Amino acid sequence: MTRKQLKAAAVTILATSVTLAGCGGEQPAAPQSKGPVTITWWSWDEHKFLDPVVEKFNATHNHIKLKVVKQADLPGTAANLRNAVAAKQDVPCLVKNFGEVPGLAGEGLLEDVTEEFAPYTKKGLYNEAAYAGAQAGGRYYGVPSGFGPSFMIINRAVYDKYGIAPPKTWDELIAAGKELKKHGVYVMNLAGEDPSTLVNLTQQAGGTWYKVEGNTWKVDFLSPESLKAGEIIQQLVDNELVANQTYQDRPALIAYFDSGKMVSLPTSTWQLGNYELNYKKSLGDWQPIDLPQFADAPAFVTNAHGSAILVPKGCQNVKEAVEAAVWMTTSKEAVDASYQEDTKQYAWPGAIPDPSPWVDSAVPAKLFGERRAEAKDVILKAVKAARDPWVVGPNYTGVFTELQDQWAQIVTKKITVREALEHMQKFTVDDLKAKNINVQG
Amino acid sequence: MTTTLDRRTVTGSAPRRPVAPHSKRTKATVLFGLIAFTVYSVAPVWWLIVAATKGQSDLYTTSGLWFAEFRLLDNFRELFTYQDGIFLTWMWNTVVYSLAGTAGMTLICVACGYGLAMYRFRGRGVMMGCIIGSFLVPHALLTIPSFLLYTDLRMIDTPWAIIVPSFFSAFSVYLAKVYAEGAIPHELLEAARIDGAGEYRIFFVIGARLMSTGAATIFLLGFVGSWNSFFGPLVYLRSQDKWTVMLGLYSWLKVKVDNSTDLTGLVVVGSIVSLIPMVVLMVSMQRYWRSGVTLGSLK
Repeated sequence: MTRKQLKAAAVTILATSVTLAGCGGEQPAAPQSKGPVTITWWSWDEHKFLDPVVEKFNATHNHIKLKVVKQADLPGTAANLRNAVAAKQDVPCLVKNFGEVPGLAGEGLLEDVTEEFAPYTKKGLYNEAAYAGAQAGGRYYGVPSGFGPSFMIINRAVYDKYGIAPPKTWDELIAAGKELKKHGVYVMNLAGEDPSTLVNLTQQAGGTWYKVEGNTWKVDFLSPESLKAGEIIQQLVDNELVANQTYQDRPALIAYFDSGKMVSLPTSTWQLGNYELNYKKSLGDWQPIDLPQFADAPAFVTNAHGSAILVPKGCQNVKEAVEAAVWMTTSKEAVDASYQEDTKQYAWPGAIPDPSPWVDSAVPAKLFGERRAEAKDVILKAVKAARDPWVVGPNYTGVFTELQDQWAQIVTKKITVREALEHMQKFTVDDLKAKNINVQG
Repeated sequence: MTTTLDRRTVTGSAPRRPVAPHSKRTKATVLFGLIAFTVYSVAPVWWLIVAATKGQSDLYTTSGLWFAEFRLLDNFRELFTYQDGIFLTWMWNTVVYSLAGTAGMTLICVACGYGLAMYRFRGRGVMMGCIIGSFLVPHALLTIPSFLLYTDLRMIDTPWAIIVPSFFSAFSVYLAKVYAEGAIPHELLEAARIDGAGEYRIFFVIGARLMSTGAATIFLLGFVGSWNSFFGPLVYLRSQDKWTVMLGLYSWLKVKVDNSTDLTGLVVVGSIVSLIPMVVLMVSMQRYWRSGVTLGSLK
């Protein structure tokens, strides 16, 4: 019940257009105190992940001190931040990302940090694809925290058993699926509640559902890129090549992946340890491969929509907050400090151009068996080829919920992808109009 | 005046029709119903006990109603050592918040109910109306205004934000009023006044004593409510070392959503440990539910 209430609170978005935000008001000068400035950081990660990084920061910085305040979970963090910003007291200066920046900025929860962040954009500190995730309407409302590189892992043992080559393109994956189907094996899994495969394919094709032109939002769910992505999904569904295991029951899902009945997983670095830990039967059978491409793609591309460490409205020390967040997302010290003894892994440094020093630790020992060495090149290639064309509109939270409903009907063959996209086009435009936001589409 | 209690046979009254013994079918139905209800109530507890003895992977892969590899002691060790024993901190916090809040609530609500039941004063009806009316206001609706109020009072992220609001419970006042009306004879108060006792003394020496059963009920319901409360701590507490056990367990349960770490095993064992104070309280408060407190007081 409380979750419902939290969710209800979370989707109540104030109708203020980001693009009309204009210039922020005069920043009050930070009080010139003698001691170090304390930056409060809200996150719902476990202390064992947070504390080493904070300790390292405090040991290496004199004028700023980081202080973690642990939150219960994502919806709890969202509710607490809304309350704190409304009360204008004890507002934290950094918060782990709990939603898409444009929606939260439109809600008036975030501080415009473009000026403070500008010096750091010139130094080549960040991977180019990481910037977009912290922006809304061309302004920064947080510090980019990067993305997980997209690649694929396949159950090579099953592929080999039926004499099928690993797919290089999505068309080849569909062909492989038709072959595997004869043996009662699914080529991929599309959970009925999770439309992210469609989102990822659209991004990979270089598409976006929202654009900003002047002071108007342009909505286009029916762009060539979007339809191209939809076409792949449509073929997978029509030919019944995919399983529909839900993510809600994770143990059952992992057991299913382990069974050899589903053999290709688009994935990222942060999930590998989990597979290693929970697979029993198929450990050593998997192979990391490049993310399949669109047949007509001019160059190798992986989808990457980054995230951000948020700076909430009412933060008293924006400059120091940005400095601390930049250190956390880009410095070698911060990544090294994130090492976990039990899993022998570092937090994935998803914001920096070259994560090669830490790639090896992200690859678990047994999952890929003798092919473990291949993983490093696959991952680094995915990082280099990452592109983020994705722009998120101010009502994306509600739109995504609607898309989930449509998606459930796609995978159960009640409607086609095109019908769903047409519905989403109308729904999104109407919703923006109802919120008095300038929109074309 | 004294009354003689009727015994079963009273001469002069009409003989009663003997009650027909219950048919076998009725008995069987009732028995079956009771057994089904017992299973329904006990099965979740059984699952919890069994699950607490399992390791993380057995938790998901073996039958939920029977034991696998016995790892209860390891689970306890992990529960009490995880993050320097933060669980014990949460337990202690919850005990303090619940005891302090509920004790205050019981005193205030019993006194308030007593006042409403025993005195006639102007505005009594309106006051009662307000109390009943406040049942209708959904709790969630008050979150933001309460948050702003506590912020102004500088109570956010202090134990007071949990303890002070729990002092006031409209439902407990209503319960106390109804109980007082039934349990305290007006003649007793009159007699006490004639003997020269003041109103406070009458309340503490006579009223409160006679209401002990009602007060115990109010205390127990309040304690259970505040022990299990979740929304308040989630919104008003910030630092993890001030959290309550329910909030802590909830946060552990959510860890696996975006981490490869899964603490569900700790949540199960923690749930059992968090039940213990409740069970102790239930058992120890049984003696308060006794009847006949007032027997002979009017002789």
